[in-house]
Amino acid sequence: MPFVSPPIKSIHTIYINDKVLDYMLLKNMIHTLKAYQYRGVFALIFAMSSIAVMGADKFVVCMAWTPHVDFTGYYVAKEKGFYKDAGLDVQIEHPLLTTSTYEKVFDQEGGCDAGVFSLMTAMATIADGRPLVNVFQTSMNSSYMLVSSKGQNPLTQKGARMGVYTSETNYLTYILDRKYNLNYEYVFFASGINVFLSKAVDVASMVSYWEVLQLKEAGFKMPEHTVYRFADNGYNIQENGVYVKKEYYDAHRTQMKRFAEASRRGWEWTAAHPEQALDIAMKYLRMNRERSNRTIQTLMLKEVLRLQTNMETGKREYRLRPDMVRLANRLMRDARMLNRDVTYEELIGKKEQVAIPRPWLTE
Amino acid sequence: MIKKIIAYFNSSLTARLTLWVSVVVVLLFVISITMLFHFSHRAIEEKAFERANQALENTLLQASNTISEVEFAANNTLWVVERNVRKPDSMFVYSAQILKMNPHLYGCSIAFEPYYYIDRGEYFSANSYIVNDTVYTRQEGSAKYKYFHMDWYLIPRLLNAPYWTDSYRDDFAEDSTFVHDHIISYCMPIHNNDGWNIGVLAVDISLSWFSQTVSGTKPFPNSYSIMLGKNGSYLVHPDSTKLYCQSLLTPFLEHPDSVYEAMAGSMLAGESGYHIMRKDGENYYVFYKPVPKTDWCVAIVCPEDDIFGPYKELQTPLIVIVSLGLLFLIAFMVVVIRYHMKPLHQLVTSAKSFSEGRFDVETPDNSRSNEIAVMQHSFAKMQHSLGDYINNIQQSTTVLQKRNEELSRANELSLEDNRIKNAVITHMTNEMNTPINHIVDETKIISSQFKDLSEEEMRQHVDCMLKNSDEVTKILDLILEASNTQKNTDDV
Repeated sequence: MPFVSPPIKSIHTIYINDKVLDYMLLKNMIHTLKAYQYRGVFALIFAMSSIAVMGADKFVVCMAWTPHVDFTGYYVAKEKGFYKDAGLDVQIEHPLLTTSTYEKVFDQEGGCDAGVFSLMTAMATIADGRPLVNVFQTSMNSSYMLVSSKGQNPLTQKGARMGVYTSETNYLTYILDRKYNLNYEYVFFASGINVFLSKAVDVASMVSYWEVLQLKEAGFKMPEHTVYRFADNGYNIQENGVYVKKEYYDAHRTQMKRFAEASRRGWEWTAAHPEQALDIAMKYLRMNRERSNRTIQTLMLKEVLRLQTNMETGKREYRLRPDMVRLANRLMRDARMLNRDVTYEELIGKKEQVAIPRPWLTE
Repeated sequence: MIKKIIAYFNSSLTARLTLWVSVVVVLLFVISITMLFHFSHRAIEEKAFERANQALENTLLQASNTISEVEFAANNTLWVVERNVRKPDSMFVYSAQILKMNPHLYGCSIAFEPYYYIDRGEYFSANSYIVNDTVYTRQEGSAKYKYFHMDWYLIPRLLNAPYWTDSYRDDFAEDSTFVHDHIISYCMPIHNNDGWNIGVLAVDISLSWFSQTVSGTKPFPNSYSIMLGKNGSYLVHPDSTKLYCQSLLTPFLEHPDSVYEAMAGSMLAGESGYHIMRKDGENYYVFYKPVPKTDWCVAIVCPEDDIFGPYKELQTPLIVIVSLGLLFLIAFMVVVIRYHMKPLHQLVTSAKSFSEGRFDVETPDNSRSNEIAVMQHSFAKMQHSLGDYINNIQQSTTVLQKRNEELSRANELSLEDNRIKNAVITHMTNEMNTPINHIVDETKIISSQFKDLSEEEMRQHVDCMLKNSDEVTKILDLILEASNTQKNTDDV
């Protein structure tokens, strides 16, 4: 009798976007059952696998965005069994186009234990009285850019319409706005570059590993004077990392360490086998009906891996940098986005976090 | 090898003549055929352009008609909506009604600004859609689907003008009960009586339905239509794997191609024209035009083989026929030239033999009456005459040679005689010199001293003189005798 491997996703777990997949999985299993007439053995194996799945530490982490290759390391860690080796049953979720990871982690219906946030979002959240701890850091550099749709220097476009994504608060843009009194009129949009290309906004905040590539794919020319790179202008602050609630971290320190190690394995494997890693990532895109092409995802992964490198040491370090935390504190305090410093020790869970309400603007 | 060939051509008039005539003929043929190909290529190209442009116009017309129908329906509904904005529940009726009256539409949303209807909360959007010919209506919008961040709402709202979106899939809301098709939407801002923009009316059509309309036109067997969105993404393409997820420039992201980028730039800038594109080793003609009232571009891609297929099919047999014809012509020329040059060759051979002294070699007869034949006849006559003359000369030469030899011998003898004679005379003269000198001396003595000389002395002197004169007489006698002997020998 052929060995029926335990399903990756148990039918006890319903994934809203994968309803069809779960149904197909069950249908296949029943077909196999009928073909080999080993219902009892199958049931036993299934029960054992379910127990095995249930026995592992379940950990639901929500990515920062809809499925893309900037989460490849996590997909790889799951598909290659690194999480399983670490005794973890990691489930990867994604926010919807008009929802955010924040909601998935903090809302009651969210159901996620962890989320991928940028450093500044995490700091603002902590200062807002919602303690978070960084358990794993991928980004070592800022990818944010401002691009003008009108062929001008974004810093000269005072009062312009600034397009920003709804997925996460764009702190650097706000900081720049306040510093230079740009008085941008903020337009929040869900996705894509059509708002930019149609010139419904004058400037847009973009990341170098996605929207900028989309603009190139659309044949949009970006002369240097129309682009403002935060990393090149003293605002090089790390972005995405995995954060859990402080109380969760305190109760699951060992698991978080294992998660970090397995995730690191996933990313290092990705860096060493980019083509195979891309195959895994494309599978996740297809599963979530995310339409994209391999060419742009290849370039995206290349840029993501570049941004994971500490430009000073040339290495992927997978850690928060205290100097960048200090810089973020200074910038956000100057822009009155933080009432207090959020320390490096707080972020890595080595110090208790004090909650103070955050008195800055909302969307 | 080349030197041998050059030497051969230099030495052979036939070969040179053949070569020059062949070169001229081949050149004329090549020029003629090239011009024929060039002008027919141009004529075919013009015809193909005309045909493709016609197909493009038809495609555009179909697309424009569809667009106009949708806009018309949307405009009519908008008029009603703007006059009834105080009745929010009516929006559900209007959104359903537009679909019932226009069955080819896919969906309709009448969405308002957050909290426009305060009692309805932050989200109010009447959305209707068709599934299996049944119209469903619902309230769209929630914390998980903030429609006012979506392109279809945001862009016309910001531009305050109607807007055709690029394709998207509107099933991001968790409350979707079915999987949507990719759609494109015509979106119009809704204004209240004061002219404020208070919402957006969006009418959706299925992209697959729209692409069937657009892609139906095929001016050539393997040509196909494509449509590009504002961001260059394929809205219509025969390869469905490219739809919605690739753009015209995707293949050149990693390795830019300036020619391709120029074409893409022109298409996305809303220009009309055509470009020749190279892909997978084949050339394609891409004819394109902007779609009115949108930021889209429609194009027809025609493989070069389709346009010039028959022309190219004709090329090979034509080239083969022309080549064979030229070869035959050259061979024929060689034969004809050789035939006419043959008498000349014979003449050359004869002349060679003649120059080598073989005057007996006959020049072959030529029954023709052309210039070469006349020359050949004349040469033959000349050859005979010369032959006889030369024979005579040879004979005379032989005789003369003999005589010359004799004369030469005689001359030598004569010279020898003269030499002997001279030697004898010289000897005799020398012999005579002494006695004559004695005689002269004695004579001088006698003459100068006759008065002083005794008779004895005088007698001595005279005896001496007589003796010496006897010597001289003897010598003279010898000379005379020798002369007589020579005369007798000469007479003999």
